[in-house]
Amino acid sequence: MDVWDAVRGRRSVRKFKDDQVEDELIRKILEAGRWAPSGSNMQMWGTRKFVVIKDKKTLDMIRKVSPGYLGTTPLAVLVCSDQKVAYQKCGKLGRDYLTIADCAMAVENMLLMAYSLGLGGCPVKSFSSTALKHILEIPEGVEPELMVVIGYPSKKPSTPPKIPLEKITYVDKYGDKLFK
Amino acid sequence: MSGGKTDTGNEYLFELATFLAISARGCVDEPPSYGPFRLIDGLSRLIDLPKYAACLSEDKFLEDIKNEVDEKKYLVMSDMEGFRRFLDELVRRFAVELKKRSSK
Repeated sequence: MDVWDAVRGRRSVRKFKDDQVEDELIRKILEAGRWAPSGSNMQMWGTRKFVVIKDKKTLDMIRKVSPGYLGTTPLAVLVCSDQKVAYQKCGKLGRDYLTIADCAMAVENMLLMAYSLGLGGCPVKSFSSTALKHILEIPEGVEPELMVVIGYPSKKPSTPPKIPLEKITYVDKYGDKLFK
Repeated sequence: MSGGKTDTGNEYLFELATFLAISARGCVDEPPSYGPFRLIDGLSRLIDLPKYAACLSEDKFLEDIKNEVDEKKYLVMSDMEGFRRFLDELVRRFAVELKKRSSK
């Protein structure tokens, strides 16, 4: 699939079929996340961690403590940051900002890959970190940043309105419009 | 519910309680519009209770409300004015139904 088609065609899917996601596809999605950029190349130190959740009972628990996890999916990937390592390698900026940006970039890669494979996904931030840490036995110093719920869409969402480029783009100086 | 089936009313009640507790904590830090969204999503989940609790019977009015809520709740993400109108209409329908039930 062309990159432009993936970027424009991807939607946040919230209604899914029960069909399982094949392991081969899960690996491709994770690889896409692994290849995402990272600030100061922090990924090499393992600051970005992916927790794949496939077990039905665990998924059910995760859903119950995540108000933003709407519908049921056969798969979820929790993207976490190792804050201790990030601080050691990149200081406060690394721990407080880069980790979040890095996880977000990985999630976007995953969502685009999922879409290109015929799957649908939705990024979820509305979850209880406290509850997730307990359920998934996440160690101290590791923070759940963003979750991606993935499955085969049962319904393709309509295209949401997007703000026109003219309203958000400037040239050379903030306020000078690039497109008129 | 928007999720997996639970077998008993008590389990479902626990699921609802978990949703409410976690939503309350989330709403402290989340965007203000998430508050009404969680409430309306909670309403949809609550209406499912009779499916799991044998002592409750299904309610046609509430079932219709649930269908509409599930169809329109995502307006909050793209059309706040539309979401407001939808909630106004929902409240109006509850008022009409309340009056109807009170006059019986």
